[in-house]
Amino acid sequence: MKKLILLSLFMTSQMAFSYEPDWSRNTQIKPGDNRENIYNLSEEEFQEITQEGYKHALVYPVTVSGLFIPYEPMVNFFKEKDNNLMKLILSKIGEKTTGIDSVESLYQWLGLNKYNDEDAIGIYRIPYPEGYKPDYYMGASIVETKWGKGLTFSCATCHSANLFGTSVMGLTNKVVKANRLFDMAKKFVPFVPPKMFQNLTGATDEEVEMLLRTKQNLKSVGVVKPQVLGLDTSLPQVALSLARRGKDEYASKSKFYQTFPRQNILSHEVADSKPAVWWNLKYKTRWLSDGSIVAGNPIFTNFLWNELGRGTDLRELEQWMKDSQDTIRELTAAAFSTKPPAWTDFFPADSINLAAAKRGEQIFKNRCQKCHGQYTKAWSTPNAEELSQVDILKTVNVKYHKVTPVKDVGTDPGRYEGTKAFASALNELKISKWMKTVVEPQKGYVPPPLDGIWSRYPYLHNNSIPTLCDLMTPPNKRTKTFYQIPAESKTEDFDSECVGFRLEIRFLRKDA
Amino acid sequence: MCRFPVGNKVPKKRRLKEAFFNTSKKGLRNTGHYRRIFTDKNGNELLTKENKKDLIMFLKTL
Ligand code: HEC
Ligand code: HEC
Repeated sequence: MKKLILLSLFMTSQMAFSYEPDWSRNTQIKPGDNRENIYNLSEEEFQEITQEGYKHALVYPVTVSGLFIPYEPMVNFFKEKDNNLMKLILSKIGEKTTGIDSVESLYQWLGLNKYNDEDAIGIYRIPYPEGYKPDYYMGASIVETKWGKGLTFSCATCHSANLFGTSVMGLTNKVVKANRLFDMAKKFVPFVPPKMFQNLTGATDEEVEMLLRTKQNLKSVGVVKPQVLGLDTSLPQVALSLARRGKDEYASKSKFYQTFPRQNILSHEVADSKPAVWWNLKYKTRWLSDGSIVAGNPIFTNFLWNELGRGTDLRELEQWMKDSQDTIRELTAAAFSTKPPAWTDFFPADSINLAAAKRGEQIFKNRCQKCHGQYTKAWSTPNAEELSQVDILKTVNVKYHKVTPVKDVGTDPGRYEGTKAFASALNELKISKWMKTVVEPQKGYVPPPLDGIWSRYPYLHNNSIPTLCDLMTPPNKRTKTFYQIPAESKTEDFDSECVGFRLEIRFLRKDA
Repeated sequence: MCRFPVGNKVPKKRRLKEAFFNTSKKGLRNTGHYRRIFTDKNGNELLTKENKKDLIMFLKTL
C-alpha cells in the first residue's frame, strides 16, 4: 500500500512539473491574477504537492547542510545535570545559565512553535511530517545523515508563528532566535573536546565526526547578533560568511580568509529585518523587503543563502540542488500557496463595524492603493446581501502591480543599503548563475501587499512601528520604545483597536 | 500626557533586555511613511482621527 502511494506520488510529481514558471526579470503578473498555484497544477496535484512542500518547510531537506548537531548525544547531554561540558559551554558564552536544560527547552528558547492539533482546519491544518503529531516543534529537523541523526532547523523556524495559541504557516515568527543560536555556537563549539563529548554523551565515532564537521564548517560562518528580538541578521550572515571563503565561483573554504575575513561593512552597519510573510509571494515578481532579488526562483535563492550561513560546501550543495529539484519545486508550490489568517478566525465578526470599514475602504483607495494594491471586498459584490457576517468581510480579489515596485518613503535605509555589501559576491557564484538568481541593490522598499496585515505587527521591514495607530501618527510623535513580545493571548498581548502591541499611548484615545 | 515608559502593560517577566525595541538605535529608526501619504506635499494633514480609525477598521478585514 505504502509503495503504491509512493509510486503514485512519484508519478504525480513527474507529470506535475511540466510547466516552469517565468522566473526571469521580465516576468509580469496580470493585475487581478496571482501565482498561488505557481506550477499550474490540477486541483488534486496541488493538494498533494503543497502538502509535501509544507513538510520540507518544516523538516529541512538539505542532507549536505553544513551544521548538524548530533541529536542522540545532545539528548544524553541534557540527561547529565551539572556536567563538565555544560560548565565549559557556560564559561565560553559568558553566562551563568542559558535556561536550556532539555531538547524541548532548546526549542522554546529558540522561539519555535508547536504543531497544531489534529482537529485544526483550513490554513491551520499543518501536515505532520511523519503522519502523526510530532513531539518536536515546527522547524526542528532531525535529519538522517551518514553520520547518524543530526538536528538542524528548517524554514518554518523563521517563517511560522504562534498567533494567540494557533500556529500559522508563512507568518513572521516574532520571537525567533536563530541568529543567536549561531552566535552562541560560534562561541563554544570550537572548544568542545571530542573525547570529553564522546565520554559524556555516548556518541558513536560517526557522531563525533559530525561534531568535528560542524566545528570545521562554523569557521566559514560569520555572525552578527540581531539588535533586538524579532529581527533577523541572516543577510549580514550571508555577507560575513562569504567574506570568510575564497573568491572563486564556488566560494571554496579558505583557511586564510577564515582567519582574516575580508572587510565587510555589515560587521558594524545594521541591516536587520524581519522574516517576510509567505502569502505575498504569489503577487510579487521580485523578492526581499527591498525587492533586490530581481530574477530567479526565490526558494532556490533562500536555500543558497541559508546554506552560506551554515558553512556548506557549495559544490555539494549544487549537486544536492540538481538532484532535488522536485523537492524545491514542492516547497515553492507550498510557499506560494500560503494564505493569511483572517481577523474573524480569532475575533467575532461583529467586532468589525461594516460601515466604518467601508468608509475606510474609500480612504484606502485614495491614499494607499497606488502603492499597496487594490482589494475588492465581498461586500461590494452583487450577491453581498446573501453572505454571512464572516463571508461579507472577505477579500475576493487583489490587484497588485504587474512588476513589483520599490519606493523610498523615508523609512530606515540600513537594510536596503546593506544589500550593496554582498550583491556582487553572490551574483558571481556559479550556483547563482546556474539558478539564474540576480541581486541588485535598490533604494527603498517594496510596498508589500497587505493581506493579513493585522497579524503582521510590529510594522515595517525593521519592526519599528508597534501598531497601526502608530503608523498613522506623525513620525516625531510615534512610540519610541516598546517590548517585542510573543502573541500568546489575544486580550493581554494584543491591542485590537490600534492593532498591534498594547502600549500606553493611543493617539485615537481622548487622552492623546 | 505620559509618554514613557511605554510597554507598562508588559508583565515583568517579558520585559527582557533582548526584547527592548529602541527606535533611536541605528537601523531601528521609525521614520518615514508619513509625508505625502498622510499629508499633502506641504505637510498638511489630510486625514482626521475618525478617518484613521475607519482606515484601521478596513485594514483589519484584509
Ligand atoms: C533565520 C531565519 C530564516 C530562515 C531559517 C529562513 N528565512 Fe526566509 N527570510 C528571512 C528573512 C529575515 C527574510 C526577509 C529579509 C529581507 O527581505 O529583508 C526572509 C525572506 C524570505 C523570502 C522572500 C519573501 C518576499 O516576499 O520577497 C522567501 C521566499 C523566503 N524567505 C523563503 C525561505 C525559505 C524557502 C527558507 C528555508 C529554506 C527560509 N526562507 C528560511 C529569514 C529566514
Ligand atoms: C508611495 C507609496 C506608498 C503609499 C502611498 C503608502 N505606502 Fe504603505 N508602505 C510603503 C512602503 C515602501 C512600505 C515598506 C516600508 C518599509 O518596510 O520600510 C510600506 C509599508 C506599509 C505597512 C507595513 C507593512 C508591513 O509588512 O509591516 C503598512 C501597514 C502600510 N504601509 C500601510 C499603508 C497605508 C494604510 C497607506 C495609506 C494611508 C499606505 N501604506 C500608503 C509605501 C507606500
